[in-house]
Amino acid sequence: MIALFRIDDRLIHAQVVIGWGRHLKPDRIVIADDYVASNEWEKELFMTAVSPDIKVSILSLREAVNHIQGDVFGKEKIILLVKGPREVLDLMEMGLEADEVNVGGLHYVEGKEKVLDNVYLDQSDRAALRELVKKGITLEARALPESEKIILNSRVV
Amino acid sequence: MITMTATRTIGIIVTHGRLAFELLETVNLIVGRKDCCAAIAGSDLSDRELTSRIKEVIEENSDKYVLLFVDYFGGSCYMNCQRAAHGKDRIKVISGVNLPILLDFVTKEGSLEVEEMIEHLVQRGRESIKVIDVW
Repeated sequence: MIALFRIDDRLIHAQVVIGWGRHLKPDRIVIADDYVASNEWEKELFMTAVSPDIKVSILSLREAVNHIQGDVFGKEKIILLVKGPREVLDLMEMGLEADEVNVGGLHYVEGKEKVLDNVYLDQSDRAALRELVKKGITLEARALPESEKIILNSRVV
Repeated sequence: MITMTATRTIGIIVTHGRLAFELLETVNLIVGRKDCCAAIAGSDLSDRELTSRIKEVIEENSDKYVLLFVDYFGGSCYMNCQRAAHGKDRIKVISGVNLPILLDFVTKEGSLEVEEMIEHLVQRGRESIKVIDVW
């Protein structure tokens, strides 16, 4: 069961592990990212960053869809993390189903415009988010479980 | 007479929020301003930006050992310090930074070799955490 499907350009970090982890008590954190999944050094970095009571899987986008659809994680409670809205779109085009995505952290880089404290977007992010809105996804922007739930859908069109 | 024999070391504090600045300010308040310690507030920056700022300070101090003091093992500051330091053997990351660690670092810098310094700082940081009975 996916308890949280989150866009966060940092993937695993303190806000996810402690902030959300304490609230959701996940069995597993799944990173779906082609770059990290193909880079042994980055994989190791993320693997060692989480305490051993939470399992971590680092998968390519395709593997993530296959694992979830193939029920590989059984009854486990999962936090699914991707780096950006484009990756959500890719996962959905590969067959992953979702109704709601948490836009948790898209940090400032040059060329990105501030939408919220934790959300900076460029044209390509906006285009991908618009596609998600068209697919009927609710985009809820929240850094932490207790933060105000801001719905981004009308702000990206 | 003080003889400076050890290779110089610079400490960079990298933390969430403003903690790095506040820690450095507190160190300065107690022992006076030292040039061996710098602070970067990491959590508002993107991974790329933070990694490149840490790399900049590392490059500016290419003749020194660098200790990257981070607040939380597994957090974004830790991750980006690892990325910035990757493949460089004159750099170490120390997580769980606290005030006693930093005070000992700035007061002993230049008098200990880096390996001794690291061993000392980790021990100092651990020993400074105590439960003390009140009376």
